[in-house]
Amino acid sequence: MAAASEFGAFQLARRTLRAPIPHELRGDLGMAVLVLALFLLQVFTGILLSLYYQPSPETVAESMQFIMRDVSWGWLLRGLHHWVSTGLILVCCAHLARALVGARYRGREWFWYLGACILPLVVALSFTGELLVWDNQAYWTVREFLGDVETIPAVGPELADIVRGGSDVNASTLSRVWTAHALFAPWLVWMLLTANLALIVRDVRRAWGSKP
Amino acid sequence: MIIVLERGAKPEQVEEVIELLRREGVEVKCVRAAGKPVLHVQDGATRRAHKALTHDAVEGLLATSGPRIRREGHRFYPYHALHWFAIWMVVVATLVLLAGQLPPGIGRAIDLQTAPEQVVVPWYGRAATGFLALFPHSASWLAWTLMWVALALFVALPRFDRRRNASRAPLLVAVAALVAVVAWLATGGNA
Repeated sequence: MAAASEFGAFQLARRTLRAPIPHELRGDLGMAVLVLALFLLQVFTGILLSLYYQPSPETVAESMQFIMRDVSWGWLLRGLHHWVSTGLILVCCAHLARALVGARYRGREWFWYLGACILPLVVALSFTGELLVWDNQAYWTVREFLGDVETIPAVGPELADIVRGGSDVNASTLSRVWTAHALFAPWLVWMLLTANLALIVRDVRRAWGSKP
Repeated sequence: MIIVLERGAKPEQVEEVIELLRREGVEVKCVRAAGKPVLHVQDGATRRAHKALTHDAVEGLLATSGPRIRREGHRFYPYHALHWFAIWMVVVATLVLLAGQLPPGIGRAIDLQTAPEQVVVPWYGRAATGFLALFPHSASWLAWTLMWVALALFVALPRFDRRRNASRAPLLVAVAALVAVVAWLATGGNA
């Protein structure tokens, strides 16, 4: 135990856990930890679902049926993944709304910028997740969405082609949506959430350092 | 207020301290923490608990409220950690309940020839699609431009509003207006 107490990481964790949190920052810290915890739950359920999900138009319906009917608690796992994504968006909105209504961005610009980047990414994660079901509703939602994207001035058609992976919605589109949902966006969200938490911890340390 | 006793304090010494505090009008509850007997003040004026320091078995006092705590804030653990863990558990329990009661379904197989009667946009995209629907197809570029400008202004808000002690009233009015417009668009008010 004595050797462990000499260990730097142990000391750092102990100091961090015992650090007093100024009253003005406790809500920010709590919300950031809540968002991070929900995101980690989302990653956990997502990894378990990805063990059975097959992102190919020929097999996707079969794998979805398998998850819902044959995998133990698969229906609950998918339901949880679905509802946690909704919860994550709502908590991110609440976090941002709190900063907006309380004008907490004044003097803490980066805190606001990070929140404003995290929300659309979380929404994109949820949206791409809804498309991965690849049923009739999801297919036509993609078509309609990409039709809207094409009308974006200057970059719209190129952007739609990149997402589609060609001139029409097909297997490439599903593959790209899957890549964005499972590989690209989660890492971005993770980095931004970590940076958000690091900024709050920095503010806690600053507040702590400025106490008489 | 928490009164920490010496690690090797005997039960009779603990009883003596409890009796000493009782005479001062302070009721305590005895627990053990990190191998030490600890007395947690339940009732009475905490300043009177300082009298316990006169006893040899008392190691020290640990403030859990009062001016110092009000100035510096509570420690992350256990105060904030347990508080937020409880909230997290409630949130997760609600989500598990929703997942159990309202699981997402799987729709019909893809039919390339026939679109569904209504393409259901997720709730978080309804305001944006509602806004796009306000404009004819030929003016979609204008809708997108307006949306991007609004988004850029929203993100860049700290660049415009730097007055730390300024009134929040105009901001609150703007937020209320924004929420009303988004809600109107999202609920299909423009249909």
